[in-house]
Amino acid sequence: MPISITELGGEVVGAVLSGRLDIAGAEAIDLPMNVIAGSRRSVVVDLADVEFIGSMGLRAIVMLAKTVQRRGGRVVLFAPRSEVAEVITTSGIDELVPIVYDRAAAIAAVAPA
Amino acid sequence: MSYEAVLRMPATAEALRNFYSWLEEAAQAGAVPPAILSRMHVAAEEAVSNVVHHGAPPEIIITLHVNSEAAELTVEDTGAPFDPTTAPTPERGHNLAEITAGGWGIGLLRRFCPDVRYVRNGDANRLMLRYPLG
Repeated sequence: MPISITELGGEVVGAVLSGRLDIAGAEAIDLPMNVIAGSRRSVVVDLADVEFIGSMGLRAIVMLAKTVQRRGGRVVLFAPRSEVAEVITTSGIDELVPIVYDRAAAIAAVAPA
Repeated sequence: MSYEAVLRMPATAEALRNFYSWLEEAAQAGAVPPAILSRMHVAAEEAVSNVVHHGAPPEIIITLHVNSEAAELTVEDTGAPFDPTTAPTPERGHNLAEITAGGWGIGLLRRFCPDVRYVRNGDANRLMLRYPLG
């Protein structure tokens, strides 16, 4: 599975993505990402082990972020590799869902006040 | 020396899922540097997805051609005319609530390929993604 879930303490959850978030990869994370979006309000999407991301992978992240924000929560993107970060910034998504490279800062950015 | 590989695939989401394994194999056989392949992968997936989702042709013919000067991926189909080199990129939303998830493909295609060329030949679209080598 290109996704695993890890508790980061203080109600913060990590969605740890890995491998290629191409069309097949995006399909595989769709359901678990929906479950997180509907149940959690402090989400760190860990992109450190993602090798590739395309439009469909971006879509999965944006759908999660839209739902979590609508429910009053926050999402950040953690530590993408340079090319994955370039896909995200080219699409302007970093202006809506911040990219953070420091783990403690990522957790602090989404933790409940 | 030059290398060429051709893939004829139906314009379906199922075929699109397997596209990268062909591209990876062909790029290795043609000695395309990994750094070029990874940029080509981003651009090519968007180019081929566009055809699958909007062009509705009977099939897509993809050719990887490599010589000492460049690696070129050509995507040909007989679907509706579509020129991604001039198509407008959708306006970005300014907050999460108002944006629609999607519409990033054309921006990614242009960013991840340094030389994108399009021609309409009769009833066929021909899109070339060219990466200079060396």
